[in-house]
Amino acid sequence: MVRWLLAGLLLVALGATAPVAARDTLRIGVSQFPSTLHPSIDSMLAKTYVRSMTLRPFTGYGPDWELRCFLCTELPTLENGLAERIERDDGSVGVKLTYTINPDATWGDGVPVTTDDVLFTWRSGKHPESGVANREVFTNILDIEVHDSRTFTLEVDKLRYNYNAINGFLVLPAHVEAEVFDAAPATYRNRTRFDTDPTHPGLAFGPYRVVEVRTGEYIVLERNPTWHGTTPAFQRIIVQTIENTPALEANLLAGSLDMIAGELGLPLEQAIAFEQRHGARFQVHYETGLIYEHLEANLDNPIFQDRRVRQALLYAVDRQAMTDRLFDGRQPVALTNVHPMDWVHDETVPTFARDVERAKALLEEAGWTPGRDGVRVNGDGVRFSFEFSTTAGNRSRELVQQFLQAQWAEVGIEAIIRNLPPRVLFAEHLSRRQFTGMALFAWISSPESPPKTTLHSSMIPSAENAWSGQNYTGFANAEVDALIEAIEVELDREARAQLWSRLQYLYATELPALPLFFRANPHVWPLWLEGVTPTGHQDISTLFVEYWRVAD
Amino acid sequence: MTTEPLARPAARPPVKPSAILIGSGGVLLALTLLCFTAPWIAWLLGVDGTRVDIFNRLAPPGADHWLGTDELGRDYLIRVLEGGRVSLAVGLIGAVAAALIGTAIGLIGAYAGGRVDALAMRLTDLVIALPILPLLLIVAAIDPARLGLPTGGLADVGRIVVIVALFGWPTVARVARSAALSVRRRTYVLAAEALGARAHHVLWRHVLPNVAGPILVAATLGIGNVVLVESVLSFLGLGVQPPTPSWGNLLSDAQTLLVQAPLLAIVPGLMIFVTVIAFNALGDGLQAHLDRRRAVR
Amino acid sequence: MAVYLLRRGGEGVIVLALVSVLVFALIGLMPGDPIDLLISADPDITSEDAARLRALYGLDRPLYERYLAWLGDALRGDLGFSRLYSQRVTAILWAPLQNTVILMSLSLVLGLLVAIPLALVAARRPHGPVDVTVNLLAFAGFSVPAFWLALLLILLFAVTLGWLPAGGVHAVGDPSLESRLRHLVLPVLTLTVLNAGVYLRFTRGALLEVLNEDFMRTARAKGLGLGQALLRHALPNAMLPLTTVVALHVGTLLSGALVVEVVFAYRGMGKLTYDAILANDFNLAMAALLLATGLTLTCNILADAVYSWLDPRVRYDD
Repeated sequence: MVRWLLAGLLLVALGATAPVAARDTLRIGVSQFPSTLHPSIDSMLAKTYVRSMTLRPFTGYGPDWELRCFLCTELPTLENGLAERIERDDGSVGVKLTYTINPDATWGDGVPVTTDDVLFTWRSGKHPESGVANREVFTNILDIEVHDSRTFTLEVDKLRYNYNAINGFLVLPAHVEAEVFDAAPATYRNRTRFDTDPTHPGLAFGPYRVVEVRTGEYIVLERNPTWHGTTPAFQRIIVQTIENTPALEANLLAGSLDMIAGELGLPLEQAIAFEQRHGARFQVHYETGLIYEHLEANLDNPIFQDRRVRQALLYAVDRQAMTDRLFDGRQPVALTNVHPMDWVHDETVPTFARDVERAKALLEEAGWTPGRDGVRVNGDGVRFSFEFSTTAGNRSRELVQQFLQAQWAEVGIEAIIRNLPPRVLFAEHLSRRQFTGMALFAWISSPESPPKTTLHSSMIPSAENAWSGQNYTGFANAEVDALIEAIEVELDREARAQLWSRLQYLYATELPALPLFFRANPHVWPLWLEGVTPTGHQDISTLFVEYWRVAD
Repeated sequence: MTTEPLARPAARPPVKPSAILIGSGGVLLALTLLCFTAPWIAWLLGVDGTRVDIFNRLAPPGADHWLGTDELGRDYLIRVLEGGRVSLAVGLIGAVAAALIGTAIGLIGAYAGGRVDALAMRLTDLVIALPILPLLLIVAAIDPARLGLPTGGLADVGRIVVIVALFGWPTVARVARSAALSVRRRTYVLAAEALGARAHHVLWRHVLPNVAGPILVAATLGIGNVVLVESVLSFLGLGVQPPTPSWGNLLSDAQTLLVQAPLLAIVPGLMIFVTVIAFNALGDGLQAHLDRRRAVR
Repeated sequence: MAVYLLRRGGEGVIVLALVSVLVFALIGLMPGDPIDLLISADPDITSEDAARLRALYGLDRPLYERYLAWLGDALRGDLGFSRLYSQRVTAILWAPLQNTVILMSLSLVLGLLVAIPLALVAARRPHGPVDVTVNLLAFAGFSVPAFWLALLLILLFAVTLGWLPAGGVHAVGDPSLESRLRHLVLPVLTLTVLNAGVYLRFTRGALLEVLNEDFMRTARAKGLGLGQALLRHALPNAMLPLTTVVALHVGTLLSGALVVEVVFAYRGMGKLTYDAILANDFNLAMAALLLATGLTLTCNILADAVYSWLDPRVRYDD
């Protein structure tokens, strides 16, 4: 028996290669498995990837980074009258927004998507025990007025520049989920049909619906017959999770995967090496996105308080060479926290190209002179030495970090590397402001998003404000505060652009954080696939999955 | 003391160490020397294991860099030797710490007997029954700062030593206990006890010297094990953190570059392999050596 | 005997309870919690959201309270939900458990099939050239770092030759037997090398010991051939200690292949445990670790029982 098995193993080992799949199935490799399929519980890229094929938000950004309707028929604006400014007695300004659900939108079991679903989504979303991660989306809505089964009006607490974007409002099927939720809201997260019965046809109205889930392994989607938009080219899509990225690549080469998702696939360095060897067999597309890799220093540390020192730190490093050599030039050097593709981007700000002499001069000016061991000291005998942390295990960050350490050493600055697992770095080190030195990490944002949580002085985490906010550096600048507040309520595009320019200028000169680069996602596609549109923001490529085609 | 002559066994005819003992010992000595003189070797070769040179990444082996360079253009030979310094230090210190704990528990158990012995052996059984590797992962993930311990650099290495010692002692404890029990039944120890020698005296003067051999063997075999455990932890990202190199994290880093630069993965793995084999062979050789000495006696 | 087993079983339960306390305390000492991970992924989550979610998941309560709550549920057979997969823990464990059992039993059997014949050959002439070679192989087998061997095998068979898949349980969308077997070859090979090393060394030692015993010397003196002596007498006698070693080895089954499973992205118990620990999935990690400990304990007891059953000289009266 055992010998037979052994022989069998050998035979199989030498035997056939993987079968070539028919072109009605697309097999996509990703590096993460969604922790839940419920749209609003937990936020996780892997879930967004799958969910964008089965459900659509009311509004979202297109590949052109402009807001558009997905489930609604028309964006409400003040100009077209569907949005209405309301002034309340207490002096606050709110807005009423009228949306109409696409009349053809139908859940996979034939039940139309209606305002009942909208009401249920709102009701469950703002319930404190529902387990919804980001409740603000729902609590900002003060009231919903239903006109008919398709049309409704939201009353929103505040009139913001992006008032008509309700991207986080993902409609849930009331006819499937309401009874589950109402039975016991506190345990809803464990009983939702999205997880207990994920193949229920009533959970999807998008181009695909889930037909099989193997926990931790794969999710199979099939064309949803009730989808109201363009019919997708592929009958089936398999989203396979392989966390180990070398194994992910090997599976692609072996032909058991057709493509690797760019949003959560290969690390950039691996993709570059992959392209060099197999560029002829696959399309490799690099899409830079709104993932802003930067350095944050604790500005309470006297070392970093002088603006000239922060500028010197930036002058001392060759960011262009870093992205050229380490990342094949695929990740653009960041001037500020605003992405070059964002329409408010201002390229006239100071750029800080590498200038070692300038860096040294600035340090001298700030009172830092070369010490005996090569590390600079100030008048009080303090050495220019600090702890430098990033997320342990992130290979490219660790490389960048060691590169920075080496370049700073050249101008007499000592960075002592001490890396922490992500949860420690974010949970305690940063959000409780326990770090004394510098941290390297990324912020993920959306198009034209004012950096309120990261730059406004009211967002400095402290015991008094229950550690809320993400202004970890402790940056406080009255003009920046005013600009951020002004941008949020400025409805005029031109006026807003002016405010944004000023904000970027202040960012580039004050340097509350040191910009490094915007991360690029490597998408790997087979030669025969076309029509995939990576976006670079959080409304990812699978929101447009129905346009993916087999090339002729 | 009257017991003195009894403790000293008659002079033994010398036993020549076996080829395996000399061979493995030699290999280890050479490795250790190479690793701990890495800075001088770097100076001799005119290279630097810490200088980042991104214009010279992943260079193939050549006259300038005998093993090529790593992802940041650092000389890989020196990186491997410096990694060896960490791995070997963790192995030696970790195994010694485990041996000390194990010896203490084993001897106390054997000598005190009764409930204490039963408790000690239950504890040993308990630790042996634990799923070691997953637990090591949890312990390695604990934030030392939360327990008020220092962090970073050297403390990082110290943490690994503590972790491996915590789980590595039971083997030694068993060996020490059984060796001590057999020694205790020997006439000279019984005689010493009959003559009224105090317990700690007997333990210290008679039992310990005679159980040193088996413990040494167990500890030597333990070093290889500790080197392996350190490499696994670092490989899984929970051990020694970069930029401090260790064989385990060098291998972990090389994993994604397997195709571009296979040498980066082959070399540190080979070093671990050779080291573990050598320590196992050394332990084995020592065992045989002690057996033969006893036989000769 | 029955009394002895019962007592050992009772001890095992106590040990299991102790381990559950230990593991729970250790997990509690791990920094951060699932909510922290959530925050780092989503900049829009407010501290109010975080506090609300912590309360919802009971993460704001002291550790001992959480343990007692967990224990209460566990005793009623409810091991809770996995944070990582939003499924009942019991529902998740099944498939990885099967995968690991297949992987480990194959490599165990193959390890024995390699080790026993080699040990027999080696024992024919102790310290002869064959024996020395075999001994060296054994040394290499149990000294090689498993993850390195795995990487080398991937480099050779998957990357360079392209004969075998580099990882996974089966090909995407193809759970056929053939695909599963192809994916098993490399991990099984890696573990077989490791197992064979241990078994080989052990079997050889046991064989030589038996050959040196007085009854064997007598038999040989009376003209029993070496081959006969080995096969008919030494091997059966050597099987006894070997059985114990194998039984103890089975005990490490669930966590033993952790590194190999991680390198080959093979979804077994080891990899599941690893993922659960890294993602702070308390319930899943607890269940997986307790299952592994329980199995180790059971196998230890079984090893003792088998030993006494095969060797009547051993009695467990006290």
